[in-house]
Amino acid sequence: MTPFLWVIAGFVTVASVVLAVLSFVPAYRAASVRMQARSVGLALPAEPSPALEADFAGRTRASLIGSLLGTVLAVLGLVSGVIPTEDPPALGGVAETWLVLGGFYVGMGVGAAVRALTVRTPVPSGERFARAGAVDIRDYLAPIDRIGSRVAVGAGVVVLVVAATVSITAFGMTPVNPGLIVGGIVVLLGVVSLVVSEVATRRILERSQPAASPEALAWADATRAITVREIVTAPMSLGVWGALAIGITLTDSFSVGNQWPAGLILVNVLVLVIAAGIVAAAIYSIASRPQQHYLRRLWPDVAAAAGAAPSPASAEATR
Amino acid sequence: MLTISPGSSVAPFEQLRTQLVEQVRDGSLAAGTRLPTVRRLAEDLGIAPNTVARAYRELEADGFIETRGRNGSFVSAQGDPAEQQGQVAARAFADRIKQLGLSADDALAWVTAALRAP
Repeated sequence: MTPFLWVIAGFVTVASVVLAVLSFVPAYRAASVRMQARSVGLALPAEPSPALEADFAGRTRASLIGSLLGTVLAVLGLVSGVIPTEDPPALGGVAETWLVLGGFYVGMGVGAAVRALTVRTPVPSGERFARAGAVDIRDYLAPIDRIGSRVAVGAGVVVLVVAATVSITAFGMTPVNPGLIVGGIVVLLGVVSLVVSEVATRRILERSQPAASPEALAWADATRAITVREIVTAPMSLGVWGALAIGITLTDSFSVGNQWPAGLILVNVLVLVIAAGIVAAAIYSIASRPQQHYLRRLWPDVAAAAGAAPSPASAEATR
Repeated sequence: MLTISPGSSVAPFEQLRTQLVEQVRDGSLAAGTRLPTVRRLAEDLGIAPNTVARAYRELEADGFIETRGRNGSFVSAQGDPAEQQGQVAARAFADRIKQLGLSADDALAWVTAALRAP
Protein backbone atom coordinates (compact mmCIF):
# COMPACT_ATOMS: atom_id res chain seq x y z
CA MET A 1 0.00 0.00 0.00
CA THR A 2 1.32 3.41 -0.99
CA PRO A 3 0.88 6.47 1.30
CA PHE A 4 -1.56 7.85 -1.32
CA LEU A 5 -3.67 4.71 -1.04
CA TRP A 6 -3.68 4.95 2.76
CA VAL A 7 -4.87 8.56 2.45
CA ILE A 8 -7.72 7.49 0.14
CA ALA A 9 -8.73 4.60 2.41
CA GLY A 10 -8.54 6.88 5.47
CA PHE A 11 -10.59 9.60 3.80
CA VAL A 12 -13.28 7.11 2.74
CA THR A 13 -13.43 5.66 6.26
CA VAL A 14 -13.66 9.02 8.03
CA ALA A 15 -16.16 10.44 5.52
CA SER A 16 -18.39 7.34 5.80
CA VAL A 17 -18.39 7.46 9.60
CA VAL A 18 -19.04 11.23 9.72
CA LEU A 19 -21.91 11.03 7.20
CA ALA A 20 -23.42 8.02 8.98
CA VAL A 21 -23.37 9.95 12.29
CA LEU A 22 -24.81 13.05 10.58
CA SER A 23 -27.74 10.97 9.30
CA PHE A 24 -29.03 10.96 12.89
CA VAL A 25 -29.04 14.79 13.05
CA PRO A 26 -32.53 16.20 12.21
CA ALA A 27 -31.22 19.28 10.38
CA TYR A 28 -28.92 17.18 8.21
CA ARG A 29 -31.74 14.72 7.45
CA ALA A 30 -34.04 17.54 6.32
CA ALA A 31 -31.26 19.08 4.22
CA SER A 32 -30.53 15.69 2.69
CA VAL A 33 -34.16 15.28 1.58
CA ARG A 34 -34.14 18.82 0.12
CA MET A 35 -31.01 17.99 -1.82
CA GLN A 36 -32.46 14.72 -3.09
CA ALA A 37 -35.69 16.49 -4.09
CA ARG A 38 -33.72 18.84 -6.35
CA SER A 39 -31.76 15.95 -7.78
CA VAL A 40 -34.75 13.72 -8.59
CA GLY A 41 -36.97 16.60 -9.74
CA LEU A 42 -39.75 16.24 -7.17
CA ALA A 43 -41.30 18.90 -4.96
CA LEU A 44 -40.83 18.53 -1.23
CA PRO A 45 -43.91 17.24 0.62
CA ALA A 46 -46.23 20.05 1.72
CA GLU A 47 -45.58 19.16 5.36
CA PRO A 48 -42.30 17.88 6.82
CA SER A 49 -42.28 14.12 6.41
CA PRO A 50 -40.42 12.30 9.21
CA ALA A 51 -41.05 8.98 7.43
CA LEU A 52 -39.39 10.23 4.23
CA GLU A 53 -36.46 11.69 6.17
CA ALA A 54 -36.05 8.46 8.15
CA ASP A 55 -36.17 6.44 4.93
CA PHE A 56 -33.46 8.52 3.28
CA ALA A 57 -31.36 8.46 6.46
CA GLY A 58 -31.66 4.66 6.71
CA ARG A 59 -30.78 4.26 3.05
CA THR A 60 -27.77 6.56 3.42
CA ARG A 61 -26.51 4.65 6.47
CA ALA A 62 -26.88 1.29 4.72
CA SER A 63 -24.93 2.51 1.69
CA LEU A 64 -22.24 4.08 3.88
CA ILE A 65 -21.83 1.00 6.07
CA GLY A 66 -21.58 -1.10 2.91
CA SER A 67 -18.97 1.18 1.33
CA LEU A 68 -16.98 1.25 4.56
CA LEU A 69 -16.96 -2.56 4.77
CA GLY A 70 -16.07 -2.85 1.09
CA THR A 71 -13.16 -0.44 1.47
CA VAL A 72 -11.87 -2.15 4.62
CA LEU A 73 -12.07 -5.59 2.97
CA ALA A 74 -10.15 -4.36 -0.09
CA VAL A 75 -7.46 -2.79 2.12
CA LEU A 76 -7.22 -5.96 4.25
CA GLY A 77 -6.89 -8.04 1.09
CA LEU A 78 -3.97 -5.91 -0.08
CA VAL A 79 -2.24 -5.57 3.31
CA SER A 80 -2.55 -9.25 4.23
CA GLY A 81 -1.11 -10.38 0.89
CA VAL A 82 -4.24 -12.32 -0.09
CA ILE A 83 -4.27 -10.14 -3.20
CA PRO A 84 -0.76 -10.32 -4.70
CA THR A 85 0.96 -6.97 -5.14
CA GLU A 86 4.48 -5.60 -5.40
CA ASP A 87 6.15 -3.56 -2.68
CA PRO A 88 6.13 -0.73 -3.69
CA PRO A 89 3.16 -1.35 -6.04
CA ALA A 90 3.75 -1.07 -9.78
CA LEU A 91 2.95 2.27 -11.42
CA GLY A 92 2.39 3.96 -8.07
CA GLY A 93 -0.40 1.52 -7.18
CA VAL A 94 -2.84 2.38 -9.99
CA ALA A 95 -4.52 -1.04 -9.97
CA GLU A 96 -4.53 -1.17 -6.14
CA THR A 97 -6.17 2.27 -5.94
CA TRP A 98 -8.95 1.15 -8.26
CA LEU A 99 -9.38 -2.04 -6.27
CA VAL A 100 -9.92 -0.01 -3.07
CA LEU A 101 -12.35 2.34 -4.81
CA GLY A 102 -14.02 -0.71 -6.35
CA GLY A 103 -14.48 -2.13 -2.85
CA PHE A 104 -16.10 1.17 -1.90
CA TYR A 105 -18.62 1.04 -4.76
CA VAL A 106 -19.36 -2.68 -4.43
CA GLY A 107 -19.98 -2.17 -0.71
CA MET A 108 -22.23 0.81 -1.45
CA GLY A 109 -24.26 -1.25 -3.93
CA VAL A 110 -24.53 -4.22 -1.58
CA GLY A 111 -25.58 -1.95 1.31
CA ALA A 112 -28.22 -0.21 -0.84
CA ALA A 113 -29.53 -3.56 -2.15
CA VAL A 114 -29.72 -5.20 1.28
CA ARG A 115 -31.55 -2.19 2.68
CA ALA A 116 -34.01 -2.04 -0.25
CA LEU A 117 -34.73 -5.76 -0.03
CA THR A 118 -35.19 -5.93 3.72
CA VAL A 119 -36.78 -2.62 4.72
CA ARG A 120 -40.40 -2.81 5.85
CA THR A 121 -42.36 -0.09 4.10
CA PRO A 122 -45.00 1.47 6.39
CA VAL A 123 -48.45 0.40 5.18
CA PRO A 124 -50.93 3.33 5.06
CA SER A 125 -54.20 2.58 6.78
CA GLY A 126 -56.63 4.47 4.54
CA GLU A 127 -56.92 4.93 0.81
CA ARG A 128 -54.10 3.49 -1.27
CA PHE A 129 -52.80 4.38 -4.71
CA ALA A 130 -51.15 2.15 -7.28
CA ARG A 131 -50.00 2.47 -10.86
CA ALA A 132 -52.25 0.78 -13.44
CA GLY A 133 -49.35 -0.28 -15.68
CA ALA A 134 -46.51 -2.66 -14.85
CA VAL A 135 -42.99 -1.27 -14.46
CA ASP A 136 -39.61 -2.71 -15.34
CA ILE A 137 -35.97 -1.80 -15.03
CA ARG A 138 -36.13 0.44 -18.13
CA ASP A 139 -38.42 2.75 -16.17
CA TYR A 140 -35.84 3.33 -13.45
CA LEU A 141 -32.47 3.14 -15.18
CA ALA A 142 -31.49 5.33 -18.11
CA PRO A 143 -29.85 3.49 -21.03
CA ILE A 144 -26.49 5.07 -20.11
CA ASP A 145 -26.65 3.27 -16.74
CA ARG A 146 -28.46 0.10 -17.78
CA ILE A 147 -26.49 -0.66 -20.93
CA GLY A 148 -23.36 1.19 -19.79
CA SER A 149 -22.75 -1.20 -16.89
CA ARG A 150 -22.90 -4.20 -19.24
CA VAL A 151 -20.68 -2.53 -21.84
CA ALA A 152 -18.13 -1.50 -19.19
CA VAL A 153 -17.88 -5.01 -17.75
CA GLY A 154 -17.72 -6.44 -21.28
CA ALA A 155 -14.86 -4.07 -22.14
CA GLY A 156 -13.07 -5.11 -18.95
CA VAL A 157 -13.41 -8.80 -19.84
CA VAL A 158 -12.13 -8.18 -23.40
CA VAL A 159 -9.08 -6.31 -22.12
CA LEU A 160 -8.49 -9.03 -19.51
CA VAL A 161 -8.62 -11.74 -22.19
CA VAL A 162 -6.21 -9.76 -24.38
CA ALA A 163 -3.83 -9.28 -21.44
CA ALA A 164 -4.02 -12.96 -20.49
CA THR A 165 -3.31 -14.01 -24.08
CA VAL A 166 -0.37 -11.65 -24.32
CA SER A 167 0.97 -12.85 -20.96
CA ILE A 168 0.67 -16.52 -21.93
CA THR A 169 2.45 -15.94 -25.21
CA ALA A 170 5.14 -14.32 -23.02
CA PHE A 171 6.02 -11.11 -24.79
CA GLY A 172 8.79 -10.57 -22.28
CA MET A 173 6.38 -10.36 -19.37
CA THR A 174 7.18 -13.47 -17.36
CA PRO A 175 6.64 -13.64 -14.46
CA VAL A 176 3.21 -12.04 -14.82
CA ASN A 177 3.06 -8.44 -13.65
CA PRO A 178 1.15 -8.30 -10.30
CA GLY A 179 -0.61 -5.21 -11.64
CA LEU A 180 -2.33 -7.46 -14.17
CA ILE A 181 -3.50 -9.81 -11.42
CA VAL A 182 -4.97 -6.92 -9.40
CA GLY A 183 -6.58 -5.51 -12.57
CA GLY A 184 -7.96 -8.98 -13.34
CA ILE A 185 -9.45 -9.19 -9.85
CA VAL A 186 -11.11 -5.80 -10.40
CA VAL A 187 -12.64 -7.01 -13.70
CA LEU A 188 -13.80 -10.33 -12.23
CA LEU A 189 -15.31 -8.46 -9.29
CA GLY A 190 -17.12 -6.35 -11.91
CA VAL A 191 -18.53 -9.48 -13.57
CA VAL A 192 -19.77 -10.85 -10.24
CA SER A 193 -21.24 -7.49 -9.22
CA LEU A 194 -23.00 -7.20 -12.60
CA VAL A 195 -24.73 -10.56 -12.11
CA VAL A 196 -25.62 -9.70 -8.51
CA SER A 197 -26.88 -6.24 -9.50
CA GLU A 198 -29.15 -7.69 -12.22
CA VAL A 199 -30.68 -10.14 -9.72
CA ALA A 200 -30.96 -7.55 -6.94
CA THR A 201 -32.61 -4.88 -9.11
CA ARG A 202 -35.15 -7.43 -10.37
CA ARG A 203 -36.01 -8.41 -6.79
CA ILE A 204 -36.28 -4.76 -5.74
CA LEU A 205 -38.71 -4.01 -8.55
CA GLU A 206 -40.86 -6.99 -7.53
CA ARG A 207 -41.45 -5.46 -4.10
CA SER A 208 -44.73 -3.67 -3.50
CA GLN A 209 -45.03 0.10 -3.11
CA PRO A 210 -47.91 0.81 -0.71
CA ALA A 211 -48.64 4.53 -1.12
CA ALA A 212 -51.22 6.80 0.52
CA SER A 213 -51.00 9.38 -2.29
CA PRO A 214 -49.59 9.82 -5.79
CA GLU A 215 -46.94 12.03 -4.19
CA ALA A 216 -45.86 9.19 -1.90
CA LEU A 217 -45.74 6.83 -4.88
CA ALA A 218 -43.58 9.30 -6.81
CA TRP A 219 -41.16 9.49 -3.88
CA ALA A 220 -41.12 5.69 -3.65
CA ASP A 221 -40.19 5.62 -7.34
CA ALA A 222 -37.48 8.22 -6.75
CA THR A 223 -35.98 6.20 -3.88
CA ARG A 224 -36.10 3.07 -5.99
CA ALA A 225 -34.38 4.84 -8.90
CA ILE A 226 -31.61 6.13 -6.60
CA THR A 227 -31.10 2.65 -5.17
CA VAL A 228 -30.84 0.83 -8.50
CA ARG A 229 -28.45 3.50 -9.79
CA GLU A 230 -26.23 2.98 -6.76
CA ILE A 231 -26.29 -0.75 -7.40
CA VAL A 232 -25.21 -0.52 -11.06
CA THR A 233 -22.44 1.95 -10.23
CA ALA A 234 -20.29 -0.93 -8.93
CA PRO A 235 -20.16 -3.09 -12.10
CA MET A 236 -19.83 -0.01 -14.30
CA SER A 237 -16.91 1.46 -12.38
CA LEU A 238 -15.19 -1.90 -11.85
CA GLY A 239 -15.42 -2.77 -15.54
CA VAL A 240 -14.00 0.58 -16.62
CA TRP A 241 -11.31 0.76 -13.96
CA GLY A 242 -10.26 -2.87 -14.46
CA ALA A 243 -9.88 -2.30 -18.19
CA LEU A 244 -7.85 0.86 -17.59
CA ALA A 245 -5.69 -0.74 -14.89
CA ILE A 246 -4.86 -3.69 -17.11
CA GLY A 247 -4.29 -1.45 -20.13
CA ILE A 248 -1.93 0.86 -18.27
CA THR A 249 -0.04 -2.11 -16.79
CA LEU A 250 0.29 -3.66 -20.25
CA THR A 251 1.60 -0.37 -21.60
CA ASP A 252 4.16 -0.32 -18.82
CA SER A 253 5.18 -3.93 -19.48
CA PHE A 254 5.62 -3.32 -23.19
CA SER A 255 7.62 -0.17 -22.51
CA VAL A 256 10.31 -2.12 -20.63
CA GLY A 257 12.94 -2.98 -23.20
CA ASN A 258 10.49 -2.13 -26.00
CA GLN A 259 9.99 -5.86 -26.74
CA TRP A 260 7.00 -5.42 -29.01
CA PRO A 261 6.59 -1.85 -30.40
CA ALA A 262 3.39 -2.72 -32.30
CA GLY A 263 1.87 -4.12 -29.10
CA LEU A 264 2.77 -0.95 -27.22
CA ILE A 265 1.03 1.19 -29.85
CA LEU A 266 -1.99 -1.14 -29.87
CA VAL A 267 -2.39 -1.08 -26.10
CA ASN A 268 -1.90 2.70 -25.94
CA VAL A 269 -4.62 3.17 -28.54
CA LEU A 270 -6.87 0.80 -26.59
CA VAL A 271 -6.34 2.72 -23.35
CA LEU A 272 -6.98 6.04 -25.10
CA VAL A 273 -10.18 4.70 -26.69
CA ILE A 274 -11.43 3.52 -23.28
CA ALA A 275 -10.51 6.85 -21.67
CA ALA A 276 -12.28 8.77 -24.47
CA GLY A 277 -15.32 6.51 -24.02
CA ILE A 278 -15.38 7.31 -20.31
CA VAL A 279 -15.20 11.06 -20.94
CA ALA A 280 -17.93 10.89 -23.62
CA ALA A 281 -20.18 8.77 -21.38
CA ALA A 282 -19.63 11.15 -18.45
CA ILE A 283 -20.52 14.22 -20.55
CA TYR A 284 -23.63 12.51 -21.95
CA SER A 285 -24.60 11.33 -18.47
CA ILE A 286 -24.38 14.85 -17.01
CA ALA A 287 -26.32 16.35 -19.93
CA SER A 288 -29.10 13.73 -19.93
CA ARG A 289 -29.76 13.87 -16.16
CA PRO A 290 -30.23 10.10 -15.67
CA GLN A 291 -31.30 10.69 -12.05
CA GLN A 292 -34.61 12.05 -13.46
CA HIS A 293 -35.07 9.28 -16.01
CA TYR A 294 -37.75 7.60 -13.84
CA LEU A 295 -39.68 10.91 -13.81
CA ARG A 296 -39.76 11.12 -17.59
CA ARG A 297 -40.87 7.47 -17.87
CA LEU A 298 -43.31 7.10 -14.99
CA TRP A 299 -44.43 10.65 -14.27
CA PRO A 300 -44.27 12.45 -17.64
CA ASP A 301 -46.70 15.17 -16.53
CA VAL A 302 -44.57 15.94 -13.48
CA ALA A 303 -41.42 15.88 -15.59
CA ALA A 304 -42.98 18.27 -18.10
CA ALA A 305 -44.12 20.59 -15.30
CA ALA A 306 -40.67 20.43 -13.70
CA GLY A 307 -39.10 21.28 -17.03
CA ALA A 308 -41.35 24.32 -17.42
CA ALA A 309 -41.39 25.52 -13.81
CA PRO A 310 -38.42 27.02 -11.95
CA SER A 311 -38.95 24.63 -9.01
CA PRO A 312 -39.62 20.88 -9.07
CA ALA A 313 -43.26 19.92 -9.61
CA SER A 314 -45.49 17.89 -7.34
CA ALA A 315 -46.95 14.50 -8.21
CA GLU A 316 -50.25 15.74 -6.79
CA ALA A 317 -50.64 17.49 -10.15
CA THR A 318 -51.20 14.10 -11.77
CA ARG A 319 -54.25 13.18 -9.72
CA MET B 1 -53.53 5.73 -11.21
CA LEU B 2 -55.67 3.22 -9.33
CA THR B 3 -57.11 3.65 -5.89
CA ILE B 4 -59.39 1.68 -3.60
CA SER B 5 -61.55 3.43 -1.03
CA PRO B 6 -61.94 1.14 2.00
CA GLY B 7 -65.05 3.03 3.16
CA SER B 8 -66.89 2.83 -0.16
CA SER B 9 -70.09 0.79 -0.49
CA VAL B 10 -68.85 -0.45 -3.87
CA ALA B 11 -67.00 -3.75 -3.69
CA PRO B 12 -63.21 -3.42 -4.13
CA PHE B 13 -63.15 -5.65 -7.22
CA GLU B 14 -65.82 -3.45 -8.82
CA GLN B 15 -63.91 -0.26 -7.94
CA LEU B 16 -60.83 -1.73 -9.57
CA ARG B 17 -62.68 -3.04 -12.63
CA THR B 18 -64.46 0.29 -13.21
CA GLN B 19 -61.25 2.31 -12.97
CA LEU B 20 -59.42 0.04 -15.38
CA VAL B 21 -62.31 0.16 -17.87
CA GLU B 22 -62.35 3.98 -17.68
CA GLN B 23 -58.62 4.18 -18.24
CA VAL B 24 -58.75 1.81 -21.20
CA ARG B 25 -61.64 3.78 -22.71
CA ASP B 26 -60.08 7.21 -22.27
CA GLY B 27 -56.78 5.95 -23.66
CA SER B 28 -54.65 6.53 -20.55
CA LEU B 29 -54.08 2.76 -20.60
CA ALA B 30 -53.08 2.21 -24.20
CA ALA B 31 -53.43 -1.06 -26.06
CA GLY B 32 -50.48 -3.34 -25.33
CA THR B 33 -49.78 -1.88 -21.88
CA ARG B 34 -48.81 -4.62 -19.46
CA LEU B 35 -50.78 -4.65 -16.22
CA PRO B 36 -49.15 -5.34 -12.84
CA THR B 37 -49.26 -8.94 -11.66
CA VAL B 38 -52.22 -9.93 -9.50
CA ARG B 39 -50.03 -10.35 -6.42
CA ARG B 40 -48.20 -7.04 -6.91
CA LEU B 41 -51.37 -4.99 -7.44
CA ALA B 42 -53.05 -6.68 -4.47
CA GLU B 43 -50.09 -5.81 -2.23
CA ASP B 44 -49.93 -2.23 -3.51
CA LEU B 45 -53.64 -1.61 -2.96
CA GLY B 46 -53.91 -3.62 0.27
CA ILE B 47 -56.60 -5.96 -1.04
CA ALA B 48 -56.80 -9.74 -1.43
CA PRO B 49 -55.21 -11.29 -4.54
CA ASN B 50 -58.52 -12.98 -5.30
CA THR B 51 -60.14 -9.54 -5.58
CA VAL B 52 -57.63 -8.42 -8.23
CA ALA B 53 -57.88 -11.81 -9.97
CA ARG B 54 -61.67 -11.50 -10.15
CA ALA B 55 -61.43 -7.97 -11.62
CA TYR B 56 -58.89 -9.19 -14.21
CA ARG B 57 -61.10 -12.19 -15.10
CA GLU B 58 -64.11 -9.96 -15.71
CA LEU B 59 -62.06 -7.48 -17.74
CA GLU B 60 -60.76 -10.35 -19.85
CA ALA B 61 -64.26 -11.70 -20.36
CA ASP B 62 -65.39 -8.23 -21.50
CA GLY B 63 -62.47 -7.96 -23.95
CA PHE B 64 -60.64 -5.10 -22.20
CA ILE B 65 -57.55 -7.12 -21.35
CA GLU B 66 -55.95 -10.34 -22.52
CA THR B 67 -53.69 -12.80 -20.73
CA ARG B 68 -50.59 -13.94 -22.58
CA GLY B 69 -49.54 -16.93 -20.51
CA ARG B 70 -46.56 -16.26 -18.27
CA ASN B 71 -45.98 -12.84 -19.85
CA GLY B 72 -48.90 -11.43 -17.87
CA SER B 73 -52.04 -9.43 -18.65
CA PHE B 74 -52.11 -6.75 -21.33
CA VAL B 75 -54.61 -4.12 -22.37
CA SER B 76 -56.42 -5.28 -25.51
CA ALA B 77 -56.90 -3.05 -28.50
CA GLN B 78 -60.45 -1.69 -28.59
CA GLY B 79 -62.86 -0.95 -31.48
CA ASP B 80 -62.89 -2.27 -35.04
CA PRO B 81 -59.76 -3.90 -36.58
CA ALA B 82 -58.56 -0.60 -38.11
CA GLU B 83 -58.89 1.20 -34.78
CA GLN B 84 -57.14 -1.67 -33.03
CA GLN B 85 -54.17 -1.45 -35.39
CA GLY B 86 -54.08 2.30 -34.91
CA GLN B 87 -53.93 1.83 -31.14
CA VAL B 88 -51.13 -0.70 -31.42
CA ALA B 89 -49.18 1.68 -33.69
CA ALA B 90 -49.77 4.54 -31.24
CA ARG B 91 -48.45 2.41 -28.40
CA ALA B 92 -45.30 1.55 -30.37
CA PHE B 93 -44.79 5.24 -31.18
CA ALA B 94 -45.28 6.26 -27.54
CA ASP B 95 -42.79 3.61 -26.38
CA ARG B 96 -40.22 4.88 -28.88
CA ILE B 97 -40.73 8.51 -27.80
CA LYS B 98 -40.20 7.49 -24.14
CA GLN B 99 -37.15 5.45 -25.10
CA LEU B 100 -35.64 8.51 -26.79
CA GLY B 101 -36.47 10.70 -23.78
CA LEU B 102 -38.50 13.14 -25.91
CA SER B 103 -41.39 15.18 -24.54
CA ALA B 104 -45.03 14.21 -25.03
CA ASP B 105 -45.86 17.72 -26.30
CA ASP B 106 -43.26 17.50 -29.07
CA ALA B 107 -44.41 14.00 -29.99
CA LEU B 108 -48.05 15.11 -30.23
CA ALA B 109 -47.08 18.11 -32.35
CA TRP B 110 -45.16 15.86 -34.76
CA VAL B 111 -48.04 13.40 -35.02
CA THR B 112 -50.51 16.23 -35.66
CA ALA B 113 -48.24 17.70 -38.33
CA ALA B 114 -47.72 14.29 -39.93
CA LEU B 115 -51.46 13.60 -40.03
CA ARG B 116 -52.20 16.98 -41.61
CA ALA B 117 -49.49 16.61 -44.22
CA PRO B 118 -50.88 15.80 -47.68
